[in-house]
Amino acid sequence: MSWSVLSAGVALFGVAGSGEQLNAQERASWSKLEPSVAYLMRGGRPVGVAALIDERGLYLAHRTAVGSNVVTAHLADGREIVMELRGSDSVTQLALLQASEWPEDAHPLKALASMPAPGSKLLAALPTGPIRADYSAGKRVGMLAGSRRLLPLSEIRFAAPESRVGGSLVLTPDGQVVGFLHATLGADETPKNAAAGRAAQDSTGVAAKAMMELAPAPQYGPSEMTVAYTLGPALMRRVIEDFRSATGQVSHPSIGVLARDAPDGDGALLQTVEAGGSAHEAGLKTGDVVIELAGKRIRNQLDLGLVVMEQQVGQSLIVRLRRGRSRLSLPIRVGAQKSAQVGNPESSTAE
Amino acid sequence: MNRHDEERIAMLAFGELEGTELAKVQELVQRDSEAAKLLAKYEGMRSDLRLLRDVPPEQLSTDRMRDAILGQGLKPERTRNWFGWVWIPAGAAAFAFFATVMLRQGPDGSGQPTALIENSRPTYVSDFVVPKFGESLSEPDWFADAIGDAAPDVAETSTKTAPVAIRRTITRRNALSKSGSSRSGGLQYAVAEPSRPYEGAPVVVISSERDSETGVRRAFEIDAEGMQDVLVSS
Repeated sequence: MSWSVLSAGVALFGVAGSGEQLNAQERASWSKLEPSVAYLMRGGRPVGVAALIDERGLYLAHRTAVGSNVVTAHLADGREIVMELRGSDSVTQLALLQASEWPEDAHPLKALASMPAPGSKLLAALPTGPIRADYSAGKRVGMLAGSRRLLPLSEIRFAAPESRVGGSLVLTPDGQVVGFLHATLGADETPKNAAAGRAAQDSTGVAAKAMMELAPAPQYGPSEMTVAYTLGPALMRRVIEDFRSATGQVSHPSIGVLARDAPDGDGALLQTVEAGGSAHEAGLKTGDVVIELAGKRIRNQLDLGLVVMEQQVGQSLIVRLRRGRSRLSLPIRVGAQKSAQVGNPESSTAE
Repeated sequence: MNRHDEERIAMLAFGELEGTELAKVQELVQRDSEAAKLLAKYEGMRSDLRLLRDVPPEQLSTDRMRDAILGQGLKPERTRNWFGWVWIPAGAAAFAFFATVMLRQGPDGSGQPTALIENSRPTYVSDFVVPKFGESLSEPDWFADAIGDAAPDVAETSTKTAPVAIRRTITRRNALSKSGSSRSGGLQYAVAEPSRPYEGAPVVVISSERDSETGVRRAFEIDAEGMQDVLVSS
């Protein structure tokens, strides 16, 4: 059973498929890729798409599409299979699933090797079927309101049908994984002002509510062009490689600090230094202003977050900072924020 | 090869090209020897920067600074300073020589001037003790030594002025200005600027709340200026 058969079944639930948008070439690409995906089901409805990433039957999916430790899924040939949650990464919200069976002719999908040119055509595999999408920008910076981690993002645009799009898999026509739809832009006139920034410094829930209030009515929506975000290519590669490793655990570089802009506008002021974290062990203290890390100038907290994210776990670096009138240079080892193992999918650990 | 090509070559040397642009410039370098020379020059500058970047200027000892200068084949600034006051006695000696030659007969009475330069030779730069130039800087040893000193448990340093010779390194901005395409950067630390994608587009803040219908989180954009007081985890 191909996607069209599956979507016909999906249509019984009142959700229209959208594969009609694809031209002949795109449909041909999709027919080659479809054996490598699985439709995650919940309550008899498709709620997400998982991508085969390893010959051992390991699938990658967005956490929002995985409701419990054991989920059912439909393959493109119509088989219903069981998938077991093996791990979950709280930073990227991606989950690793082990399938009970998978198509023998399915090829594992790989992460994007390099950044596509803006305007490149993509395929977004929604739970209801594939649609065409555009790769609009590769170098965006995102911050998760909850964890306050900076993430490199790719910006995708597509004409979304009136259906669930969260957790959709985005692929290049030749089968490289761009990412999973992580979030969509609320409106084009978003709170690009300091008030929103101040709101974001409050507690997570308050910040989210404040931003919601500041945002005008959305102009992007169902059946209009939707701006969505996936993780950047380098981060996707890291997640897939780590999930495929022997431990199946994703490690993100971390030094264990919370920082804001320095008052004089030059450096990142450490507001919190996590006890036991890399920064703490290196001798960094609250109130220090980081001005250089790994040979790169740190002008603000965004620089610090991005430079840390570029490093490798376990790497030894030199951090330069201001402490009062003194300048210090300290060696620091990049620590890891690790994904949760089986049985504790919502938590993560830092070392 | 025009100015645009020079800029692109500099960007290639500093690893800032990708995709088709990268392929184009690589092709240019392969077929144009001048372009290849320019690339080699910029790559040399880049390695210089990397060498100096590894140790903060304040932590460079005089010896290490000298070694670093010599290792890169640069002429020490010190020689110019010596020459600054040496010219006075040297000039006096030259004047004496001139007077001797012009106003005195030779000792043999022949009336021919006698070259006295060997006896009243002025002091030249080469007479001063200059560190050995010929010694090849063994980078691993130097690097290990430098890092060893630069990375004690807590290496506190005062804000003393870094040696001028070290600060006068060719930064990327200076390198570009030499190709006539950018302004001079003056004296700078050899510290790399990180990639700042948020300068070209606002930061995307992804809310914790999920839309129950679409299953995605809501995102908002905030300019970098609006992020000043926002705590970011690293």
